[in-house]
Amino acid sequence: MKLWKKVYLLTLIIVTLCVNIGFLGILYVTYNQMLEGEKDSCQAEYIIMRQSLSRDIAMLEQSTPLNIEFFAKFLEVYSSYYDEDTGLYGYVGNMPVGEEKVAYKITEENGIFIEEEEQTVIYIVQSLDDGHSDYRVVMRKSLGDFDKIWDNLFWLYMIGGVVLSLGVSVVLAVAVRVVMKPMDRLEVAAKQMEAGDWSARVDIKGKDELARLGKQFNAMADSVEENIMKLEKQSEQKQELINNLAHEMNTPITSIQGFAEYMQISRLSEEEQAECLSFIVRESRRLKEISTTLLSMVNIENKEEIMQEEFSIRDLCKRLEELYRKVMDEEEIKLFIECSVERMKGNHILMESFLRNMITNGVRALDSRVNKEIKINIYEDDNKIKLQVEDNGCGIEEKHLENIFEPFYRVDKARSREYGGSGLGLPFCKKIVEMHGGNLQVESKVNEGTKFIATFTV
Amino acid sequence: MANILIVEDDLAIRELIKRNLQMVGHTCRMVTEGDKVIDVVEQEHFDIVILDVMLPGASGFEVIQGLKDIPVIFVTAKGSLEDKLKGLSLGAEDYIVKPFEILELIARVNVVLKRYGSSDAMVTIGDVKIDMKQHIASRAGVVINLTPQEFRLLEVLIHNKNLALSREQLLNLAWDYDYEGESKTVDVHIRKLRQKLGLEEYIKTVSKIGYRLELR
Repeated sequence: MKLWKKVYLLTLIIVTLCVNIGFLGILYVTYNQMLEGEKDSCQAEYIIMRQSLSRDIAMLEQSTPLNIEFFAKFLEVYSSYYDEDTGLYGYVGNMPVGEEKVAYKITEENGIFIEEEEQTVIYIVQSLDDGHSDYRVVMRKSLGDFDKIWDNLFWLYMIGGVVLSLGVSVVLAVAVRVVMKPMDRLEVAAKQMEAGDWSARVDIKGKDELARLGKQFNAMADSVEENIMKLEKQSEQKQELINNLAHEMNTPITSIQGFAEYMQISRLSEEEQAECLSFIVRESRRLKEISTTLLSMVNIENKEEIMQEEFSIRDLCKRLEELYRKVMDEEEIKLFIECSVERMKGNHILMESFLRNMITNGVRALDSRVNKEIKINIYEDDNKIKLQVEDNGCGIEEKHLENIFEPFYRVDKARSREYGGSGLGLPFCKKIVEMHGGNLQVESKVNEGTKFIATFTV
Repeated sequence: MANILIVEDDLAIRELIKRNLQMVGHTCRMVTEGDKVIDVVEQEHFDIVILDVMLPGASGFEVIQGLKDIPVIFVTAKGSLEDKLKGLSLGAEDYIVKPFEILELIARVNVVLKRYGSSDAMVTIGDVKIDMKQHIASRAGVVINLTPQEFRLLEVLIHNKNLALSREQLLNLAWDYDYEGESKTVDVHIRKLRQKLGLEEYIKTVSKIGYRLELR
């Protein structure tokens, strides 16, 4: 059942019950008190009557003893003092004096009795004292007016009660409904969100619990919307990456398959065979580069943190210098590595990947240049470690600079495909730096060179 | 034997297409950038242009608009329906999506060449002369009777010369779609061709693969 109905019914029942019980209580008490009052006044009358009658009997007995006749006569006289509501009856022993009788039961004992006959009736039964205990006088008072008053009151109570109850019902219903209306609004908003409308909010004014609930709902909705947007964006990005990846891997695979089949079905000279095989090898390497870089990227993507420890960056640099010596000689590139930082905290495997990727990019940029140089500079600056990789190669145009960290983005498709490259090198480098809590920036001038600056917080 | 312009920026794919087309007898020129195409086309006659869509310089869709009279086949990784429709509505003869079977490319090139009348009218293999249009084969001047199926098979071997084709591929290319027979029929027809035309030295069996018409 709805909340407002519950509250409404509960309140209505309680109020109605209380009011009615209260009323009835009051009526009951008042009725009894009034009845008591009647009793008292009747009793007072009786006492006066009895006293007077006793005096009269005493006077009579100065001359004659009391007998039934006299008794009856006295009663007749006294009766005439009273109005029609009140009557006096006499009894000697259990025998009635006169014609009119009263209920036999009542004349058995003395006392005050209230009976319900056609009207409410008070009976007062007492014996005459002074040795006339056989003689008993019954005063009978019917409370006609009393009854009438109470009948009216009863009807007033009934009608008034019904009207009041109805009135309260209606007013209460409206009041509860109004107060509860914000609940409906909350429900509507919640339904909207369920259906996928993340912009649903409620407007509940005031400071009560419902208003607070409304505010809280809005705050929750804000958070949900933000998170959903973020997730959707991430999902989109991932989908785009996957699409690009499928595409990128497509080309080398086509080449490898194509050349292999060509070699199968053609009669080729040894020279031609060698050429075909070198293409197969080259494209396979490219495929492998894409695959391993992607795997590494995915691996660090999944981790919240990477394993970091203190390692000697200087030793790493020395090792790289040795590793690249032969390649640099062949390519006629001068490689300068200056490392003024002894140790740093980080993941030494990832840092090596970072430097290798950077060097490879530099080599590619230098391809058709003279006086080729790659300078790597690692130094401390303002409590941070800066790692600079600079080449004097072909440079990157301004308009491309913001895109080069996107997976598979190619500045110049023809060249970068010619020279291999997975298109994932720079995004991977950026990811590595970010996982270390730093950032990667680039400065470049066309035909002059490019400088990458990675900043690591110590 | 046609002169074919290949416009493709990826080195390996370019080489792959070039070698295959040369093997089956065409000559090839190569261009790697979209904006260079117009110049090259003005200087030399081409029977067909094989065009990639994603190129440095102008895109393939832009380039084709400057190639009014030359048939164009798109060969590209952009395979969405949208792209296909766009390419074809810009006037391309065909639209092939990477990755593709090289034999398919060769076949489609041949279809276009035939349509434009640029394919060879006469082919000579040793002392056999074949009129490709009239479907007549003669050996040392004498007309040899070939069944239509035999001729079709001969045609396929000529169009794919120097490339070994499997029996399945020969069936697909030379026989009708709903042919339910075994590939044994290929062997039978090859034997017939060899016998009737005396081409034992030219139609070679390539072990583990199939048959190859060797003709340089």
